[in-house]
Amino acid sequence: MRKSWKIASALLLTALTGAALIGCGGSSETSQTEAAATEAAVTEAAADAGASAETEAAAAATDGEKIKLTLCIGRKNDLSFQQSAYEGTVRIEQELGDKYDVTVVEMGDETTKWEAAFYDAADSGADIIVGTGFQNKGNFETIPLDYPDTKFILFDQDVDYSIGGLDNVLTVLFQSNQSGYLAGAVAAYYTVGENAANEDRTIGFVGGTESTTIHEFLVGYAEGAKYVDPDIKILTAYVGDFMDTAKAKDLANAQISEGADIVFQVAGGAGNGVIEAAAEKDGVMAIGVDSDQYEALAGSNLQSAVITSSLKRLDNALFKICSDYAEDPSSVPFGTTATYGLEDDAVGIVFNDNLTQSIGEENVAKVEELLGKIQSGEIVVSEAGDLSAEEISAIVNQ
Amino acid sequence: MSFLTSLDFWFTVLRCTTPVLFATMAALIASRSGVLNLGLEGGMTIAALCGVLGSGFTGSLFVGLLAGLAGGVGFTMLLAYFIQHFKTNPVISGVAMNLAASGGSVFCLYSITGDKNASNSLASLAFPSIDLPVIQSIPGLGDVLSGHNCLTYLAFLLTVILFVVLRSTSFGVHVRSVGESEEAARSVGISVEKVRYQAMLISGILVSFGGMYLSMGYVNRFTSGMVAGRGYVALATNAMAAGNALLGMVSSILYGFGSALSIYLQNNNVDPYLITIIPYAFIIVFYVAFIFYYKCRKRLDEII
Amino acid sequence: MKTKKKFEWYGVIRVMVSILISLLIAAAIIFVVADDPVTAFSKFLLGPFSTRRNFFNVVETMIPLVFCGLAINVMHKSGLFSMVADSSFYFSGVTAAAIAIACPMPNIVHQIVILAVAMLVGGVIGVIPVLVKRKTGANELVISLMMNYIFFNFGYWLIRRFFLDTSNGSYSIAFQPTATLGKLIPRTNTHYGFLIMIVVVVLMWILMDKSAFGRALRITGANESFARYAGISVGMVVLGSQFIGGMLAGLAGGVEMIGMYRNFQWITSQSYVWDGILINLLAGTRPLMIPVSAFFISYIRIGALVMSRGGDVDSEIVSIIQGIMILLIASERFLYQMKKRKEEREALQNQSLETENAA
Repeated sequence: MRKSWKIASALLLTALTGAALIGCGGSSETSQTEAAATEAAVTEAAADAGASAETEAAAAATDGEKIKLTLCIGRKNDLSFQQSAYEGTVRIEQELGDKYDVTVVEMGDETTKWEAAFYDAADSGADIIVGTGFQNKGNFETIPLDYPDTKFILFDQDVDYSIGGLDNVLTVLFQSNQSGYLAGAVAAYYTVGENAANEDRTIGFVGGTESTTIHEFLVGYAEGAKYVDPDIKILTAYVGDFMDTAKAKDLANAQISEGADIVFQVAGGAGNGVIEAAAEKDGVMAIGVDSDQYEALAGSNLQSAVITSSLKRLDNALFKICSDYAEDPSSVPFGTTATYGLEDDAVGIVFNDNLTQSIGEENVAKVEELLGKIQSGEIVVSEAGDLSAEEISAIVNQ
Repeated sequence: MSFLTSLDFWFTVLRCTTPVLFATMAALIASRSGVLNLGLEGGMTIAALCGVLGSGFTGSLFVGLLAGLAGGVGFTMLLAYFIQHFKTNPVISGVAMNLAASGGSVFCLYSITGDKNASNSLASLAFPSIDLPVIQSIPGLGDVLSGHNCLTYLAFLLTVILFVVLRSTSFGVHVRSVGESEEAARSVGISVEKVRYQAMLISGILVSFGGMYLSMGYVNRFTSGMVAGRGYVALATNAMAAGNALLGMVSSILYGFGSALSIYLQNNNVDPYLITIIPYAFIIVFYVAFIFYYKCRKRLDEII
Repeated sequence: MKTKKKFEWYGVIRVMVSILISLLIAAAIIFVVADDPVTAFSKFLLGPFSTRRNFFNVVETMIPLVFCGLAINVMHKSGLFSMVADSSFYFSGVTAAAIAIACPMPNIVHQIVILAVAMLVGGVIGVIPVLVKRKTGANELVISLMMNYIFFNFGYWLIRRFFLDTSNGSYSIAFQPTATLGKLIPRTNTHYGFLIMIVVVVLMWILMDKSAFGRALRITGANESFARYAGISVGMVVLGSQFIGGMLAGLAGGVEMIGMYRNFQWITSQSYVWDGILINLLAGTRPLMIPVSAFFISYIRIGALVMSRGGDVDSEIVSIIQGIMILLIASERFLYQMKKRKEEREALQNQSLETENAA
């Protein structure tokens, strides 16, 4: 009997290796031709990047075919920017439904499996493929090379264009440091104001993970708060992921007990824990993130604890890009990094009655003034991407 | 380290202790009857999910409680059935059940509510917090001991009850004798199977409360992976306790202290990844220390 | 000899029936939750063959599973339930990444050094629980589970402290170009680790089934006092098995790190120990069958991913299937009646044969 086991396993191993070899032989041919195709495409693109795209879109228009848009995200209801991107596609489907054919692919949490999903999307003939997050840097530096006729858009992370051949990739960054700055100013006005729980000039920050995307918010938050009052102390803590609501609540409670009376949460779904902690204590407020969480929590007893939210509108940015592309493909700057900030309505904070009640009309006017100064370039907020870890902690702890 | 004197810190210690204390007691009653319950992690996950679904869909906390208990007890009894009836290795069946629970809870949540990470679309309920009547007014002590979730008080209460039951009731004697020697228990006419099922039933109830504290106590939603290894931590705190429920309480509080420390140290600019190690390092160090303590005591007993 | 043969058939049938039952349950669940169950189920079953890339995804996924299955095979055969393989896996990955970033070396030498050090680190970590147990009597299951948390957080802290890429703030900076295993099959991620895997499977088969060490380990695991009586140095055999298991898990971490990645990306803990238990069990604890069962497990995982990508069935359904499969296979009494009847029939046959012979 042992023999039959051996034979069975030997057969399977041979089959596997055989399959591998066949794959090898077959693919070297295809990859050669495709490499040639890529090369040709690159030269063509170099010659006239805009024209080829234009003719393509024009062809699509005359055929009456819709542009195939595929969004590949981990999970569509992460209460954070992936969800915002998903909402963007919903809006495109509603308002540009005659021009776009939208597919949304949920790839799950395991990022090593994401590459295959992007390849699948490209193979299925998508015209535009959209991804989000720093996890996709590698994918968006390799996959677009194999599909020069497909457009790729990556949000919240740039790619290294110097490696060449990425003329079909648009990367979009958000100036969340600007919205963070305004959130910091709001926090400062609140903690020195009369509604705050205590006299301490201490404010809190709870992030999801320690990453540049999160630090972008933090740097702006610290600079904004210190612009209002240089003596303000900022407590920082990180959940370690974007899901652990209980830990986020623990961290916020710890900050509150150390004197923080307003806590800025940049922790996606886990951030609800921060809002809960704020709601349970009198005079403590939370600042929401990504979407207007005051609206999102309508009807809940947590709602009044959300003083404002720092917005990152992937949906607006995606919608704008797609409507531009449908009008005139050459107007979209593929092959570069686009930065969206306050003036594009892609970041910002929420002004509502709750904010006015909490910090007073006078201070709201001051925050609006700051907004204008950032837009006009009078105030330039530091960017975390340019700073080392030491420089960031210097800004926060000075 | 100024926060060590802050009352909020000690309040946090008790809060972090609660779920692990429930799970430790669940591990303790099972191991005293001679069954290794490795399914604590999965049992807590299932109970946490069922409680949220039950209270969310009916709007009744009582139904949520029943659903959570049903989930946790059902899960634990299924494990007991496999161990007892099918003679499955307890480690392997525990692993299997935990695996099915961790993914299965996400799968069920998604299939039932459409949420993938957390039950955000479901307005589930939480158990209320209680102010203790007299203690509340004592300065200091009242701030630490009063105002906790009612499940926290239940956890400490059940620990004391379990200690008394194991020590001085006939059921406790049966459980202990079954755990110590199956043959001896059988020879005096105790039904080993029945006692073990009873012990696992109690274990299941305790596990359910532990799970529900996570999703219906401190926060009121279910998040995938929210048990976060507390079921495995309970195996360690139970090993430390060596079968004594009160020592189990001590070891759980040690873990709670480590967790609270790792939360508060973050505000003092210590790296978050380094301080996450604290509760687990605490467990290993104290586990080994407890073992040495038992050895010394045994040696002392022999001398005297 | 004859009874042994019958027994093995019984084992194979049991595994097959267990797989069948769990797949049937999966089908039932899919039919309940999916809007278009037929498409979903066929995607689940045939998804891995739908594109070339999906198929090789299965092959890539199986590589660490095979290593970890073998690690659990040798570690648990000693009768100790140490779960330290996760610590070895993660920390060896950290070590591999550190060498891959910080130590420029010529091609080929670099990879060999990385994998050798990864194995060594894994092996050293692997023996910690059994050493603690020997010194203090602490339970190895408990110690190893706590160690897994510590090594994950400590390892990731090291990467952040020394090699963090500040442009994204979560991953490490890129490896040296020499620190890669290279692609075995172009335009997929299937790397030369597949060949290393085959070599290791053969070596482990020889070690476990053909060598004196394997025999001594089996006897020790089955009955320690008998092993002592038979003159086996039990301590050394157990220690050796934990070291080898740790080395295999460490090699898995190293191979995965430089085979699949160009920089360190493990920002969450990587758990392979439960998978290892499952695969070892499916393989009937035979080293040669471990690649087969690992292939099967990665096949259904990729199938579930393909299914979930376009549909409304979550890929986590796989963990339910796996749980049921392990439970059934591990149940001694499952299909016990079949085994008992067979044995009875056999006994009768033997009896009649004996009587015939006697006549």
